[in-house]
Amino acid sequence: MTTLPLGPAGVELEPHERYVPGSHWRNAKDELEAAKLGMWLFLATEVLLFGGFFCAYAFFRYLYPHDWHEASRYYLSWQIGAANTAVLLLSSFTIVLAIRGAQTNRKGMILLNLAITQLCAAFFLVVKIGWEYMPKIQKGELPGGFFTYPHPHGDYDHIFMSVYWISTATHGFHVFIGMIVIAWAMWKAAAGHYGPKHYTSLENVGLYWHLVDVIWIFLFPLLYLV
Amino acid sequence: MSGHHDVSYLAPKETPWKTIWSWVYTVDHKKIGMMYLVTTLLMFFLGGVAALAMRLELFEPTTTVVNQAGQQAVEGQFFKGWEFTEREQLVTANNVYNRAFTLHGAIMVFLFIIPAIPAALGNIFLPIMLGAKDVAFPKLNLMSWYTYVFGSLFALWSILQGGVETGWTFYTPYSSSTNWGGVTAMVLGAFILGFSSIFTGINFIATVHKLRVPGMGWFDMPLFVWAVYATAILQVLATPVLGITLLMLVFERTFRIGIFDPALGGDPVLFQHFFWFYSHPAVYIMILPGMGIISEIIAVQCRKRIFGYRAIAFSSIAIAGISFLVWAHHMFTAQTAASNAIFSALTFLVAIPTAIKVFNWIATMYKASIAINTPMLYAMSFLFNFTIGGLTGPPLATLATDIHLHDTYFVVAHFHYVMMGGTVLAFIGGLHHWWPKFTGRMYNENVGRLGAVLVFIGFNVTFFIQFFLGTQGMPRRYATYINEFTWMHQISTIGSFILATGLVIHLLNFVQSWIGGPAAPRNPWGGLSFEWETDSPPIEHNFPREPVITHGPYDFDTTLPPHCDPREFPLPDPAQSARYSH
Amino acid sequence: MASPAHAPHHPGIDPDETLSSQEAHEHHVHVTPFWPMFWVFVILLVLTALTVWSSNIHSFWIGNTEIVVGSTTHILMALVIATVKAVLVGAYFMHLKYDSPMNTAVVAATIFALTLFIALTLGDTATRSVLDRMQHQKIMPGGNAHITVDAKTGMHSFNYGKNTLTVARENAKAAKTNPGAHGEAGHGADQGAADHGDAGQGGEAAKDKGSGH
Repeated sequence: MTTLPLGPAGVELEPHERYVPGSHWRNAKDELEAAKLGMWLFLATEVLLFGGFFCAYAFFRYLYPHDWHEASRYYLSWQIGAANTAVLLLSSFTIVLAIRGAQTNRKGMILLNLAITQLCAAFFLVVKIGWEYMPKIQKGELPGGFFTYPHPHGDYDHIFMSVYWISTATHGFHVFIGMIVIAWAMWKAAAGHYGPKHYTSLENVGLYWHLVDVIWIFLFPLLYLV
Repeated sequence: MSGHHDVSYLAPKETPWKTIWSWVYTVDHKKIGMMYLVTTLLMFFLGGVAALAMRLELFEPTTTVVNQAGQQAVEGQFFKGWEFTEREQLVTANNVYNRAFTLHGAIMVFLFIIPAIPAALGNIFLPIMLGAKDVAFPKLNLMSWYTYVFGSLFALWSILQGGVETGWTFYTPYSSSTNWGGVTAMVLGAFILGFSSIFTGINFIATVHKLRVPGMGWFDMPLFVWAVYATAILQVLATPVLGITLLMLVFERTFRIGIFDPALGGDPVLFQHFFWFYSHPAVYIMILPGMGIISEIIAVQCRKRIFGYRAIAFSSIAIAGISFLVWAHHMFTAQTAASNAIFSALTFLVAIPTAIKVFNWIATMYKASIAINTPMLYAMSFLFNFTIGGLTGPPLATLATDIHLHDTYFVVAHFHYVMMGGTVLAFIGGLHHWWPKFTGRMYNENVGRLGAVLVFIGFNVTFFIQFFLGTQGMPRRYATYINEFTWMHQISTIGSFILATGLVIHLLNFVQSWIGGPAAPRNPWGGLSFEWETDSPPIEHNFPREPVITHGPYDFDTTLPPHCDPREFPLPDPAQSARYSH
Repeated sequence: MASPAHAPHHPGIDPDETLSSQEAHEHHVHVTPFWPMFWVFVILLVLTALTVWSSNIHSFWIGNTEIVVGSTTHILMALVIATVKAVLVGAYFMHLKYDSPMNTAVVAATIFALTLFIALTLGDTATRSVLDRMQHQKIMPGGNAHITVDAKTGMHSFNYGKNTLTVARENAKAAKTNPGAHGEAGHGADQGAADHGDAGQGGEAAKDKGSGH
């Protein structure tokens, strides 16, 4: 396409205004609903993936309840966890606002809210890596066979650490991927790809981000509080 | 605009480079299906070679040529210059056999049978059967294929990493404790392959929901679509658990997290729960599409309305649902009696929808006009073999008998009867049934029939005797055995070579047909679903204009099949067929 | 397959090719309202605070009785609140309430599969103590498979820190040097049990063994 179609006022149309569904789709509504359904199916796979971690948690918690509870209080700081939770919840809210911005055709609102979401994600990762992971690595509170912390509380601290590390590290990895995907969405928003008639990929990015938040909603109390 | 789309999807482009590029970067579901077909068949033959090596080894009770050749390979030229740990120097000939059965299992399960029918035949025919131009997410489809190739190469790379000896089930602590060998490579390969499966599943579910032709309700779809849809549900819900299991195994090996390792406070039975939660639904991922193919073959080749359409459709969904409830029947010797009782009872449930299908297929054949061609021979083989496989399931589900049969050749025979006698035969039958459609050429029918007979005889000679080996106590995954079992193993090995001959005959038949077979008509069998309305092979966008649905896929009693000579495929005489329409 | 002459021309869609491409512009956009979403966010924060607060409550008084909140209750409360939060995020932030019910069905199927998985696996684990005396026996690094059977009562007991091979060797050595005595083998081997610093426990276990525990 070398010439861009002009809108009624003779002004060049934004990409979202001249979006055309794929040629195998009968209409744009089908394409949007299918895209969302596909995204939900993918989220289902992510939930089941993390479900494995929850199953391992439940299993070991059942076997060693006292040690687990004590280890949780001994090694983890609930304040850091709570701060991270609040920040993630805020980021969920702002990404909803970004979608609202697309629906009301306000590009600035999309970009601002995505930027806040991005900052929240960065805050989460910085706190996690800087305040949680680095001190743990330095003190030797590492998973399983690498656990070398000299003052363990119980006999199974290393298993608790294993479950903690793999759950939160995988979650952190998903946060990181989320940041990349949000950055891509910001680029697309800046290029004018999102508007009231078409904001499918922004919605899907939002769904992914909400899932990351929901997983943390479950991880936080189970690892930090109880 | 629609003019240039009226060429066959197989037609080459202007230059060879453009043709290659049109395949490498295609988003056409038929091309992707073809690529899957070629690669999965290649993996099938690779896995088959490993199987033949195993059966050669098992011809004699003691270690034989195959293992010794392997031993020399380990010690000799190929690995010269590598440094072996002390453990590796203790590698005996038996370890080569271990690598063979692991390779056979992993290749056949992860690289062949799980992707084969859904990703190859499903990709080609699902959109066409729905009247659509493509699947819901064509680019995701292509990514699924590339993921498959990448994962397969990764898994096969494990051979060069020293091989894997744990069996395809990767039980801990053996798989988590050896610090050498190709376990991590194969496990990561399987992890990547899981994503390929998931993407295919997501694509198919969205396609069935959103791309049906207007006017086609859920109960107007061919049963193959129902089967592939149920399979897709399993792919989406079960495969992630395999992903997390394998991921945790890799963490166990690299970061020593200790979750499955008793030396660190973990539990190997937890691994088994994790592993089988996927791997049991996986076997239904394998069989359900095969059952869908059988529904299509029997209805079309017998030219009769399928008996009990809704029962078969719902039973596909029921099998998918029940399959999540029964995984621990693979673990009867590893878990508590209470769990055993629950899972044993639940396992018997899954026989019900399966039997419904088998009875409905047989009822469809009753008083029908059956064409005895290669697809129908395979469908009948399927009915025979799959029923045997299914009937040998309850002895394994019954706790008292399972104690004796667990990890014996009885289990091996059972799952080969359902997986090979079931899925693989359905796959080959489907290939023959749809070959004229997706290649545009006819295969040689007599050679096909010969191959079908050889495969049937070879398969049964190989595996039927293994039931008796199992009840007599021969354990699985053993390279050597007591002398009393020799004659049975020898019969089994001879059978495996007959089976291999039959398969090679089919391969040659297909190659000959591809190169120079006669052009196929649009509707050689007189089918009624949408794929028989397209060209052979279909044009790029499947249909020149959107198809209109005027009849159901099995309305053989009321509708003349399109593009067919009515004298060859007349309407059946209602007076002559008892209880024709249901 | 009418090809309406007045259909707008879209680059990429040939009106001849699709039957139902005419009606695509009836695209009613449901605009996400600001204030309801804001209140959902506030409720989520409140629930988070509630989770933190309730996890710190270990007992409370009603009148004269003290009700102790055990850790199982804490877990249940935390899970219930987390579920409420997840449902809020799902229904409002993720738009499930306003979407096609198929999306909710996908979520429901997922939760069902996950619940099955965790419940039945835990069921297996939970029934272990019914038949298996090894539950609550600690699994020590290096193995703890040394089982002794008391001659009088038939009770099995486990000795930590030494594996079967070590104990067998010790017993063989003891049997060779001192055919009569049975219980002293443990003491002699204490010096050998240098790993894991379990010499103390090994000694204790040997004492127990000797005392016919």
